[in-house]
Amino acid sequence: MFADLLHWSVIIPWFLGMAFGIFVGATPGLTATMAVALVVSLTFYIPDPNTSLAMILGVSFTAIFAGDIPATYLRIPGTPASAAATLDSHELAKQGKGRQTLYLNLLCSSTGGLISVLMLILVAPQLARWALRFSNYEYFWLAILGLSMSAFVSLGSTSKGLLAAALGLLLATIGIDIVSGSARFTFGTPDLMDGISFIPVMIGLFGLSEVLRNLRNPSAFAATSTIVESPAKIGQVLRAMWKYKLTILKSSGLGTLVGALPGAGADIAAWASYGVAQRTSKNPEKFGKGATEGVVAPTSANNAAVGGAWIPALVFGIPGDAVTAIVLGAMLMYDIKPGPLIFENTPEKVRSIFLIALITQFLLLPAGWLGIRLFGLILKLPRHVVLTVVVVFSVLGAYAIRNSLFDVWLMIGFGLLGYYLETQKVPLAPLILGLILGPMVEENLRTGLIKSSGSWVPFLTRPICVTLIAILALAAFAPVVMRKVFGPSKPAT
Amino acid sequence: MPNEPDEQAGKSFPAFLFVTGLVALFFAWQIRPSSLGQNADPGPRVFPMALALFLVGGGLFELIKWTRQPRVQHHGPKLRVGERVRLLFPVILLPLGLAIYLFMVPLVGFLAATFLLAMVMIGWLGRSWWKAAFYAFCLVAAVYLLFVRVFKVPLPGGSLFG
Repeated sequence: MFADLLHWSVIIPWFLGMAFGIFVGATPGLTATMAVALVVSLTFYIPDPNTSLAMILGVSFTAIFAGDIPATYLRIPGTPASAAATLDSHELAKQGKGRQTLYLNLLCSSTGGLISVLMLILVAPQLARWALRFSNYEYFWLAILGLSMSAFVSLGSTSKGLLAAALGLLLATIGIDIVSGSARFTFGTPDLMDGISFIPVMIGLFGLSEVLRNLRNPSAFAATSTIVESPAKIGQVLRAMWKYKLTILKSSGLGTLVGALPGAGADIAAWASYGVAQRTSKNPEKFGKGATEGVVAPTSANNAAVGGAWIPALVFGIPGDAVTAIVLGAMLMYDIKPGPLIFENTPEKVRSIFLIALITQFLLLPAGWLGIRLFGLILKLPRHVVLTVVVVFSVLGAYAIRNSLFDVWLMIGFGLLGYYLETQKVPLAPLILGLILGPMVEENLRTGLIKSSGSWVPFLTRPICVTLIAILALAAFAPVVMRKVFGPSKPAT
Repeated sequence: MPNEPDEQAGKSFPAFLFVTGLVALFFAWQIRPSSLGQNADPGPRVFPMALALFLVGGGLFELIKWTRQPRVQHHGPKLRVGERVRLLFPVILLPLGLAIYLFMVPLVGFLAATFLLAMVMIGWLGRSWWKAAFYAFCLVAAVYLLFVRVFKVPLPGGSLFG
């Protein structure tokens, strides 16, 4: 299997996918989620599922790292996950240490990703054994917990997060009801009988809406760098990694745990580890002014979060973030069904995913190095051309799934919806999760009620259900209690 | 980016929730379950109706929250209506352009329509129509090679050309 993955027919598309991830991640205004959404539709035409998975995983890890490049040179994070490292990276770049800082970022990203993948390999199979005890009642509460957590941890108002989740759940009801066979919200349209196609929605929400935001903010067109660079000293990079080895380990662990929370993506992981690193640092006053620790912590955590998001995704089919949500949708097309039984029924596919994720962390090094060297070329590309390319590939990506122009209309509609919701400061991650988890919530609820002859007692008394409800109550009410005791901390919208 | 007061964020969201919830409730009410006998299944319309009611209730909650939030003193020049429209113009124009593009695709074919879309967008944003034509041609050539030749995706040919 290892030899199969290193065949040129896999390695070349893998590396091309990573190059695409570098390009998108390093371009301010384009996001890692957009990169994955666009690449997924391209991979449908690759017959080998390993190659497709390699491209998708490659894009997701590299795009997160690549956001550090414009953050360092331009003080503009390429992706939200790089925002936490921006201040310190840019200050170091102003001291002529830009390339050196980026090499440090690259090594930390690769290390963080490696640690999270190792945790995935160790934890996921054990969690899957425990998950085999889950029945409809437990899956119902697990999906509710996942949705609620995405609202509680997303930046901004919790109520807006919950409403976004409800909107996603409502959208998921479109189509033929799987239990009774009734048509719901189809308006007689055959294209809606199967429900809303997931990939055009993703491309619209994350691709087209980003383009609309960029069009609204023309100042984003004029990104230039005036940094004067000193030669990078690799010895100093390695010494810094050794000096901050504990910070890297802590941040990678924290990033993995945060990434495993549904709705909490790489950006939250990066900020959380930045905050922890500052509080535990011997020189907290240096953070924000060019502290190497302020770079090491978030860059380890953001890539670790990508691996962490796979833990609930593989074991329960509940994605940890929007990127993993898209990948899960793609996996279903390759007949890879996430859930605890994936480890029993298709262990070879699980081994493929683990191996691909591991090898990607090593391939990230040459891909990232190339991205750092070629960033100047990326900056020279006219921005209006880049945006047009994104629009054209968004249209093609939406069309190519079912060869249907209806999906392109869907993409445009959701692009407008995504743009509107972001202007209203409504987080999109809960909406995506609602769309994905909607069938899990409704089917398990109704099947559970059928099994219990309409009684809610099993939902409220089974031990795992009680545990999940307790976690939900704690997540919901703990911030309220903390705010009353310690004062407000979450920014209001 | 010109200043806009933060209170504008969230102003129309309650109305959006009301309208969406009420429309969903109306159509959910019309869902007809097939009769398979009594089996404790709540039916296909209960879940969407519950969600629609949640959205309507959420709209009320957001409206009350918005009316009760303190009004922030706005610093700097406020945007006039004309300036707001000017800023929103590209946001309205792109979806409109895409809609026209989708009507053109069945007539002139995917590649020709995409060339026109790319040329108009690059020319409008970049202000040089010769460069726009060049970039659009390169883009369409890349699309043809990748999607038609490599991936064998059947792109629409267009009824005007048979």
